[in-house]
Amino acid sequence: MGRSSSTRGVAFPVILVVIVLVAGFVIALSTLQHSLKSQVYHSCNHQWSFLLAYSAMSKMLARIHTSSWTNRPFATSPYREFGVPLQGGTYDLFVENTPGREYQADIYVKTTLTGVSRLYFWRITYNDDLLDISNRIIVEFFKAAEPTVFPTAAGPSNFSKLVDDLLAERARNQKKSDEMTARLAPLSDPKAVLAELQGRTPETFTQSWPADPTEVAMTGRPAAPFPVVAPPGADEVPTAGGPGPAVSIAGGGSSSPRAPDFPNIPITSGGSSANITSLTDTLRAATQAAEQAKANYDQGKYIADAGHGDWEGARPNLIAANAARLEAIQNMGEAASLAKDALQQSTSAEEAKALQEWVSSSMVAAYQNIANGVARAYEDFAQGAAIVSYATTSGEAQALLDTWIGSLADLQRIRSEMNSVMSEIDGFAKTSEVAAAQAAANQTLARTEEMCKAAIEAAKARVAELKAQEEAAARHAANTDQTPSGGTATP
Amino acid sequence: MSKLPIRRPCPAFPLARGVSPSHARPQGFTLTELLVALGIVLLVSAVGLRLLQSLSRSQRTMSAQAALQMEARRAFDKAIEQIREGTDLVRPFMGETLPFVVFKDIVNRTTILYLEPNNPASERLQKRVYKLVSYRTDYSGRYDPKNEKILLDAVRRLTFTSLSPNGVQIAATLIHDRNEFQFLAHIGLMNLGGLE
Repeated sequence: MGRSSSTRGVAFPVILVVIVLVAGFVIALSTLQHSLKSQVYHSCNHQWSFLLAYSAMSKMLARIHTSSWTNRPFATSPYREFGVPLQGGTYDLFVENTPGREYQADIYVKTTLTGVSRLYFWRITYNDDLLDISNRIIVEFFKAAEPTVFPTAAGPSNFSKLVDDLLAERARNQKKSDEMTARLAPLSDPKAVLAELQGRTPETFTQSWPADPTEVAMTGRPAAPFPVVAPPGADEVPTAGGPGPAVSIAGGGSSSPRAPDFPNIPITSGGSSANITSLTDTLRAATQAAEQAKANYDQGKYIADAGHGDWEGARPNLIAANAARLEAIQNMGEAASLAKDALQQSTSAEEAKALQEWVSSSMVAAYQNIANGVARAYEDFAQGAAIVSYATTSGEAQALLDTWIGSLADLQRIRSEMNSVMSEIDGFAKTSEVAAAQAAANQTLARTEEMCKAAIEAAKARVAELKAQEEAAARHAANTDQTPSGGTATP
Repeated sequence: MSKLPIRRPCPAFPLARGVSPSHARPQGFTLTELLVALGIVLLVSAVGLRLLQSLSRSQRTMSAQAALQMEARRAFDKAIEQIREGTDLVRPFMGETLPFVVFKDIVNRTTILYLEPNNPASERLQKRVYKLVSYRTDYSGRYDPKNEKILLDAVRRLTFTSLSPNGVQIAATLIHDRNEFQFLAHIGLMNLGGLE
């Protein structure tokens, strides 16, 4: 049966339209997918480029290692490589002797990955020491830079001058940064770190959102302790003296356990080893108790913050913190006394100085932990004026004032105890870092006390203000009551 | 005039030519053919529409996830670059995990990356959301806003773990509307000229 003339020739246009539609659909989909992939790959490429450049740099270091510095590939003129394919991209390499420096080289690597170029720069120092083959090449400076700074000719470039300037600035900041590091290292609270860095006080949550269960578990996790290494047994201790001056190992031959997580104490005469062991144990107990106190203060404050100032929930932690603090102070006092005994038995000035520095560093560490813990627990006093402004009656404000006066008395007692125990080691030698840390801890406690006093003054002012308002309101109410009953209203 | 047959007349029906409709040869589509064709077209259109809708939805989800990943990676690239160009790690100590990191940057300025509550985002998402903020001191003894940068806007969790003296591992969970994205990176400090 034949087709009618009106339907003849329709198949081709229909198929054409269908093909066009399907092709359009497929192209649209693939475009979308491609744009998605390119977004993700773009950001992946950033790290990939660094790895590519690092590989290129490592290849150059390997070449320097395999020959000698004298025979390095860039000894007389810069070494160049262009368009070397590696790991799916390409790199250009330019290596030259650092202008004006011996045993130094500048390595520029420009990577190109999916059409995007990036530049990485290393300045290395070659340690020409045949006896130290593991540390021959030291990276002095690394920086990612714009690809346009890739050099084309030998000699000082603007970029190498910039590197010199940055290195000079680094050297200028070295001492300040070292001192800052000594103050920051014992701090475990970012707010305290920011305070040291003169940073802005971070915001707090305005509402009590539910805490993530992993948040507490994953943060503030202390470093894993060093493994306990058993002391050598009697049969392992050498009986004959070795070469050099005759020395005995503190605690050697004794079965009493040495502190596993303390640095080795200075070499001392055998007679004082028992004292030293006891001192080690006491100092360890003091520092551990201080750490425990700080952890409990921190945790108590965390619970109080999470509960919007609910200190009742934090009470068990604060009680534990106080107990740990007292234990730490007691052990610190004992340690100071033991240290004085040990010093009387020391055989040289160097030995005495080493012992003093060791004891003072441990005690200052404990002191600093307690000071930081206490400061953390008291840090809400910084907002004392704001807190007391929420009180609407003089009774409420007075209750806050009474509580705060009690808190200030507690704080002053803690300061007095701490000062008393730390005065025991006033004459001890201290490294500059330890002295700075002690001063910082002193300052932390002093600042906390000032904060507390300022909050109390604000509370007193608020009490007076509210009392005045209440009295005025009472007088007004009395006047209002008298007016209708007495009939003595002024005309 | 006689009645037209059921079949649809063509526009130029041969009446004009004087031919009787009863003798006209059947042409065009029958009603059944039209109905069947219409049904097939509707069915195919419905299936195609659903497919497009589904694809569009999944595309939007993927785009959102890609945007989140991209934003996160870009921000992390900044953080990674900062740390990579550092000279010394102050905190965390080796083996320690903390919600912040303190290190010396390329010119020995002490820098901290820390989490700060992001209250507007927390209000919107009804959960704790943080910002990752970077602050570095210039040792002038005063706060300078120029030294502060917000690296990430919406962080659910973030920890720094030191696994070596010159390396730090970042584990982070970022949030974007309903989607969360987890991130793990290990960064080695490159400027170790002072390390003996």
